[in-house]
Amino acid sequence: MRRLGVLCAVLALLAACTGEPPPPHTVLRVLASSELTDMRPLLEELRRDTGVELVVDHRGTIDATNALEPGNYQHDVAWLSTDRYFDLKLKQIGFTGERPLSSRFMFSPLAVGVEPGTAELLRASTADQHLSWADLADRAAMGMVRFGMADPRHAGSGLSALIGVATAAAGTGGALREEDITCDRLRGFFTGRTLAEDTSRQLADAYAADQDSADALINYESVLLSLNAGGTLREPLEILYPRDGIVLADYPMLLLDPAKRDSFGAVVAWFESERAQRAIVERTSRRPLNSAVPRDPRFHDFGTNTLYFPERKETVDRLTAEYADPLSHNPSHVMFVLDFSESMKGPRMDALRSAFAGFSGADPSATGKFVRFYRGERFTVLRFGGTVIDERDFVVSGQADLDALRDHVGSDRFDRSTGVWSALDAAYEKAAAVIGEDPEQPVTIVLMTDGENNAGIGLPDFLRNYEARHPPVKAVHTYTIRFGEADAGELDQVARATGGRMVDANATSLAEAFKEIRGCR
Amino acid sequence: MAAEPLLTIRRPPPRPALAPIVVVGVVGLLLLVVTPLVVRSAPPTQATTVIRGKMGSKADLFRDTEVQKILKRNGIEVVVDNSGSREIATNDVGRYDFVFPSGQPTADLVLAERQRSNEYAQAHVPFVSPIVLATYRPYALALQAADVAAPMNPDRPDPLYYELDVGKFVELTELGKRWNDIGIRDHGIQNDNLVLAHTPDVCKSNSGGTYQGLIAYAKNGGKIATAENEVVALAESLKPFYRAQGAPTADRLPFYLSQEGQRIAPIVVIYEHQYLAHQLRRPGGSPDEERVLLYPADHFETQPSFIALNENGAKLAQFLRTDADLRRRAVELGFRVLDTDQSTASPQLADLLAERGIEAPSADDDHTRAYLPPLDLFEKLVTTVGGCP
Repeated sequence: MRRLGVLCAVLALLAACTGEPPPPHTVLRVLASSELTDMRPLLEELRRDTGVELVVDHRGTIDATNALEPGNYQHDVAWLSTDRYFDLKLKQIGFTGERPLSSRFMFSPLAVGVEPGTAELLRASTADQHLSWADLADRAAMGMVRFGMADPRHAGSGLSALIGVATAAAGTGGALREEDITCDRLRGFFTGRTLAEDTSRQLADAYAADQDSADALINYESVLLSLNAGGTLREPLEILYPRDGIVLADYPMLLLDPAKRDSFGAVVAWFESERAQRAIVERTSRRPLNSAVPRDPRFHDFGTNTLYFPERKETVDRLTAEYADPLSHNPSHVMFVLDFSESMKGPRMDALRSAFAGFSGADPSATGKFVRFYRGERFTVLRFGGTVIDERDFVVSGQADLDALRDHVGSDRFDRSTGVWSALDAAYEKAAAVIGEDPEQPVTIVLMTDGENNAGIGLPDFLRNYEARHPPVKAVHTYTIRFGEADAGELDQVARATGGRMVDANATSLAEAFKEIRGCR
Repeated sequence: MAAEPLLTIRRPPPRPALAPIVVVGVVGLLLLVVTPLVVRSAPPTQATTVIRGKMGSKADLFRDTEVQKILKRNGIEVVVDNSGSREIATNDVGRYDFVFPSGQPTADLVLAERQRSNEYAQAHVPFVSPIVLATYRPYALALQAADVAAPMNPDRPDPLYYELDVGKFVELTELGKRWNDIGIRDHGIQNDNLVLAHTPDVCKSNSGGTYQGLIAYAKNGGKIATAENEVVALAESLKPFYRAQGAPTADRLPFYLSQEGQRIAPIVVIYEHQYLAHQLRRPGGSPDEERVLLYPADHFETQPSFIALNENGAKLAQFLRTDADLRRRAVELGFRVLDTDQSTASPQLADLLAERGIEAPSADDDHTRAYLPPLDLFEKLVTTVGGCP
C-alpha cells in the first residue's frame, strides 16, 4: 500500500494530478491465437487505462486449444479465434467441472481474398456473380485458381475453412455429421492449394513475401483487410464471402484462473467500451460486437449465411484425419470398368455419357462441382462385353484430356455378351501394374454393369484370383454400380469382399450413383 | 439473525391471478453460510458492499448502467459472472452471494442441491418473461407464407409479433426443408440452410432446455409427457433436430442485434425482455421493424428466480423487491415485473411500450399455455436430447 502511495505521488508530480489513483499494475498471462498479434497497440492503451498488462503467448488456435487442459491450465486467460473446438473437446472427454467464464466483443468472418484478375474469372464462372466454395473447388480442380490456406491441424482459419468446404460438399443444409464424411470429396478443391502455413498470421506473411505463390488466400476478413492496408501487396485482394456458408471467428476471452476474476473483468469491460470498440475497428479491421459502434464501408454485407457448425469432436477429428491421410495428398488413379454389352445401347448409353460429362465440368450442382475430375487425376477406362473390348489410360492436365475421356466413353462399340468377372479380373491385373510403378498412388476400381455375367470366368474364379493377389493389390477396393438387370447380390458380394460397396443406379440415376461413390478409396 | 425460514421459494402462481404467495419449501436445521463481505475503499465518502452473483441472461439487469447507478446510490456494487443457467446448477455456487437462473427448472436444481447440503437459500421471482424465437421480418414472412406463423395483430402494417405453430415449424426441419424451399428468395434472401431455430446448449442453459420442452409438448399433442419411457422416446425423437443446428453458441443476443445478425443465425431462442430492452433503447416512436418475435402458440412464461445464498444476497433481493427506482428500471429493460405480492404482472410494461409507440405483446391470458414435465423428467429430457455429461 505504501509503495502504491509513493507511486501515486511520483505520478502526480509527473502529470497533472487527476485525483484518481492510477490502477495497480497486474499481469495476466494470455494464450492467444496467432493473428491477435495485431492487438498489440491496443494492449498498451489497455495497460495505461486499467493497469492490467497482458503478456501474450501466440499460437495457432488448434495448437492453443490442444494445450488447454482443464485443471492444468498454464495461463490466466485464453483468447482464441473460437472456443468451439475447446467446447467440443470438453464434451468429448465428458468434462463436468466448471467451465471458464467467457466474454466476446469482436468478430471476423472467414473469407477469400482474391487477386482482382482471378476474382473477375471466378465471378464470370458463377451464375449470379456470387462465389461459392463449390465454385472455388471447381476452378481449383482445373488449376485455374491457386490458393493458400492455413493447416487445419494447427490453425483455426484452416480448420474453419476445411469444415466450411466439407459442409458445403456434403450439401445437407445442416451441421456436418460423421456419417457425411465417407469419401474424399475435397480432393479436387485441394488440387488448387499451393500455399500452406501453420498459422493464419504466417499464411498472410508468406503470401506477402511471395505473391506469385497463390491467386487467392483463405483467411479471416480482418487479416485480409490488414494485408490490403499494409502496403506490401502489388494490388489489394478483393474480399469474397462464399455464399454456401461462412464461419465466424468471435474471439472469446476465457478466464482460466478464477483468482484473476477482477483483472479479467476490467480487461473485458475495457474492450467493450465504445472507445476500444472503435479502436478494434480502426486498428485491427475486426467487426465490433457492440451494434452501436458504426461499421465502416470496408465491412461488406456477407450476403451469405453462416454455416451450421459440427457439434461433435469426432466429426472434426474424422475430417482432419482424412485431411492428414497421406493418400489424400496424391492424385488418385480410378479404373472405370464399364459394361458395353448391347443392352447398354440407347438411353443407358446416354446416361453414361451424361455422367462423364457431369464429371468433366457440365454438372452445375454444388456437389457436382466438388466431385468433378481434377488436374493430375489418372484414369483407366476398361470397356468390356464378353471380353475386354479396349483399355485406355488418361491423365488430366487440361480440358482437352477431359474431352478425350468423354469422347472415348461415348463412342459406340458394343459386344453381344457380358463377361463381368473376367473384366474385373483384368482390372486387378492392371491395378497390380499401376501399383508396381507407383506404390504411393491411391487406386480405386469402379465397376458398372447392367446385366448378368454370361461369358468368361465366374464369380468364384474371380474371388479365388483376387484372394491370391499381393496385399497392396488386394487393398484396392472395388465399388460396384448396379444398373438395369445386373445381379445386385453378386455385385454387393464383390464390393464387400474387396472393401468397397455397391450402389444401385436403378434407385436414383446412373449419374447419381457415380457421384455417390466419387472420392471413395 | 432473525428466525426466518431459510429455504423459501416465493413464486408467482401458474397463472397471473389473484392468489396468495406460494411458499414451497421450508427447511429447518440449517447451516448458515455467509461469505465474508468484500468491502472496497472506493470514494472516501461511502463504503460499498460488493455482492457477487452468477447468472445467464438476467445479467442484462445488473450490467445496465442505470441499475448500477441506482445500486451505487444505495451502497451496493453487484459483480456478475455470466454462464448458462443450468451450468450454475451443475456447479458449486459457494463463492457467490446469489444466483439468478433464468427459469424454474434450473432454479429448482439449485434449491434441491442447497437443501441436500443444508445450506441457506431464499428464492423469489421478481419478474417473468416469455420465451420467444427472435427473427427478422423476411423470415417471419416466409414462415407466414408457409402457414407456420401468423401476425398477432394482423391489422397493423408492420406487426412485430407473430404466433408460431411449433409443431409445424419443427416438421419443416423434419422434412429437411431449407429456407430456399419455403420461399425466402421472395424476400431477396438466399439461404440453403435447414429451417430451424438456434438455441444455446441445452446442457448449459435454461432457454435451450425450455425450448426443447416446448417442442416436446407440441410433438406430444399438447400434453405433458408424464412417464419416463415416454419422455425418453420424445427426447430421442428430438435429438436429430437439436443436432442439425450444430454446435450451440452461448449468448446469441449481441449477434442477433448486430448488423450481421440475419446472416449469422436467422432465428434464435431468447427471452422477451431481451428483445423489448432493445426496442426500448431506441428513440421513442421509431421501433426496429426489421427484428420481430415469434411466440410459440403454446405460450411459455419463464420465471427467473433470484436465489439469495447468504445475507448479502438477501439484502439485494429485498432491495430488488422494494426499490421503486429499480423496479421502474426493470420495466424499461423489458421485464414483466410482478407486483410486490408477486401475484399479478404489473401493467407498467404495456403502458411504457404504448408511450414509446411500440406494439405491446399480448398479455398472456390470450394464450393457451405449454407446460414442462416435472423436474426429474424434464432433466431426463434435457440430458437425453443434449447427451449431457
